[in-house]
Amino acid sequence: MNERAGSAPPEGETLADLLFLFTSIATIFGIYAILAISLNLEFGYAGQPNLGKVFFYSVGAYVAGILVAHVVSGLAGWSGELFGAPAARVRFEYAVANPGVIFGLFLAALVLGGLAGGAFGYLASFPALRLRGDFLAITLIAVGEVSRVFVHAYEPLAGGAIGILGVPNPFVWITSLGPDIPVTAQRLAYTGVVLGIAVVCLLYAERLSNAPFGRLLKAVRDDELVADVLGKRTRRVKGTVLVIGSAMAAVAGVLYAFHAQSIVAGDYIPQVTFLVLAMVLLGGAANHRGAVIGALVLTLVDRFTQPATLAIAGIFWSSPVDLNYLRYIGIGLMLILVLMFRPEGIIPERPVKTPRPAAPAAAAMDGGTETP
Amino acid sequence: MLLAVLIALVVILAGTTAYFALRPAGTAGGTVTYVIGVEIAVSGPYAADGPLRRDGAFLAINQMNAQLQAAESPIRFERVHVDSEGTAARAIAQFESLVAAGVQVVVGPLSSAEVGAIAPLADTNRVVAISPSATAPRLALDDFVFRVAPNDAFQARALTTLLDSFGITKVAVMARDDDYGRGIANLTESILEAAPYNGQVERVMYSTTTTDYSADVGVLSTRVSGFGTGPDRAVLLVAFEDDGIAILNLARQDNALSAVRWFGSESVKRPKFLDASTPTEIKDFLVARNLTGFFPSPQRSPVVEKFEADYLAAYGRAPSPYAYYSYDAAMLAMLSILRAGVYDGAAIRSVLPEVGRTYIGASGHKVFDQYGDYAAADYRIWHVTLDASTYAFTEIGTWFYASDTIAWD
Repeated sequence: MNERAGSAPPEGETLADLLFLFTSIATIFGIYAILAISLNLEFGYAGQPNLGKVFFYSVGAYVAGILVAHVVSGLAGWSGELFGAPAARVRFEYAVANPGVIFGLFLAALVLGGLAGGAFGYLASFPALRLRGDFLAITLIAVGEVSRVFVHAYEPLAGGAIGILGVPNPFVWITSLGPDIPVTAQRLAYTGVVLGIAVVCLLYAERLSNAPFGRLLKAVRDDELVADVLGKRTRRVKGTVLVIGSAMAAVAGVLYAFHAQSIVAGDYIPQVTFLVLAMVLLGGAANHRGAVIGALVLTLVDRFTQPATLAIAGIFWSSPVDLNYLRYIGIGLMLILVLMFRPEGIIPERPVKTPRPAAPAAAAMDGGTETP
Repeated sequence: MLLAVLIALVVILAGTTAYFALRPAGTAGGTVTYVIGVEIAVSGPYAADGPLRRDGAFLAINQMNAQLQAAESPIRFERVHVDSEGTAARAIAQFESLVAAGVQVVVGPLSSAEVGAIAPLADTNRVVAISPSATAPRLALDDFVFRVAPNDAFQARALTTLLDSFGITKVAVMARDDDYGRGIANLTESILEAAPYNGQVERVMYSTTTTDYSADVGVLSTRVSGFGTGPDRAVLLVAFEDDGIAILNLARQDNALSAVRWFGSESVKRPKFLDASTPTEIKDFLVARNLTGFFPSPQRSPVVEKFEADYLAAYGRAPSPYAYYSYDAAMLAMLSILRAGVYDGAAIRSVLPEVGRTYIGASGHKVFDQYGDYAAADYRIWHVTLDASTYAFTEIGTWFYASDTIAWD
């Protein structure tokens, strides 16, 4: 798709561009959907305002980046600066030549990232047991900021301000399989993996929320004292949900690192958490499908109002007023209107779906009468 | 109901995009339009200077179109500007949007962190990126990224020579804790503390997300006091507009910091430091401390003056220093397309170094090294002066990279 006018672009090339756009949007949507589901579990269901979400997200990204940078550079025999552009080039070339290694590292990063996120979530549960509401939120924001500043300032850990360059897409080798395989193929494969993991997270969260544990989360959220009085172990519940939510966020971080192919400390700022929170509120708190819808809506609105996306439709903005500024106003206005006129979100909270009891239990509940 | 409306909206958006993208392109009166992506942040850390840089690129595109029209050429350039917000994550997302739109050459992004993040995308998709201001040496690589501003290694050499010329051996560096500030601080420290200078450097790196710099300025004051007394002490400020002005406002009230000479990085030579909105006390402080700095720009020439006059006429304000570079980056992009004769990233990349070799722009002669980075740069030296009631960055000399010497005007 070269000359915009004067001659028609080859249709195959245009399709490739559209597929590229799809992978870009769908991958980011998948990653944000996981983040939204994780925050929804903590905040929507359990009432724990984990505004340090970006910290756990960054943990996954750093685990992936540091793992790949050290292992691949070591295997490739690179002895120069670990995080710069020349090292990144070496890692990409090694990944193309060694598909098993890069894919194995991707899987290892998912596991290690999830474990690390869960471990940090466990640590975060300690203040969560003692602090409530705004105080917990502020504490977790501070944890995220302190860690970001530390990583940013301590260059040997993750490259400092410029970060870690060269975290190859785990499917980067696909294009080397044949001359006719387009570059977009590696992105499509990765997008499929991201969306697949997002679906697994959604199903897991749905199952968890509709189990007795889900009702317990809501009990803690609605009245922790009553839940305590009824003998529920509310502290353990809060700790558990933070571990699960943080592990999910770290998995999202791993997925983002391999998508972006780099990790920069400056990306892990509190605004990311607030964006995820906006997705949850927009979609409907305490409703995972709502959280996913919120992630979808905000991702689509963001991308389809971009000047570059409008250019695909032949619209070139040349007004003296910068379209980028109008976008920010429009998106902010949309959020305000939704919160004003539909504060419960797109999909409101619904009662927990209690599975129909198995036959003997149902019989007992029906007063001992046998069911056919 | 609302969900159904939203789903319908999504389908309509996607369908409309696909329809327009897949329809045959029109012939629009035989005009051939090439798209120039402009990925220049106009928010976040670049909210103040970004629009001025963006306008430099816009001016180049407008001028080129006017010239093509005057020559009755069927070729026109269309611009698509996206805001990368100064972060790597957004830079990637915006670059992906430009790639999806079929753009083959992008002017930007601005910072080294952003450029490092989009570099794999540029390489994989064979899209040329020409950054007007990324200066980190560690990004040097033979790839699809070109950089028209000299990297920090030049700036550090110029700076240490400048400091040495004033007999400064003890420097407290007050710098932004980002890729730009850290890069300059690191290089200054490594050069000034080594032979033949054997100086002493203390660093105070401040967060770019804070608005209260009192603690950082307090530390800076302590470090300067620790140098003892004498004319061989100085402060080097590596700051952008808002943070720099806030720091200067605190520093002018500090006895230790008001007793030493001040130097500034290239980023301190931005109009806002001396414009009407900046308190007079701060500007007086800069004059009193004889704030001296440098900027990689050619000496005055008809090319520079023409650019400045055109920019002023078009936008009603003077260009900021990096607007010169974004203007040249856009010019190089368009000239390379015309030279290549085809709108294709690989072809544009192959001719761009040759185009640069023969192009003298508002920011100088654009010769690239083997990595597609600006190969050579002389720096103009300036200091802040007060003439009647007008504050100005007055140029007083030139640092020549070839000889590592300074010639005073």
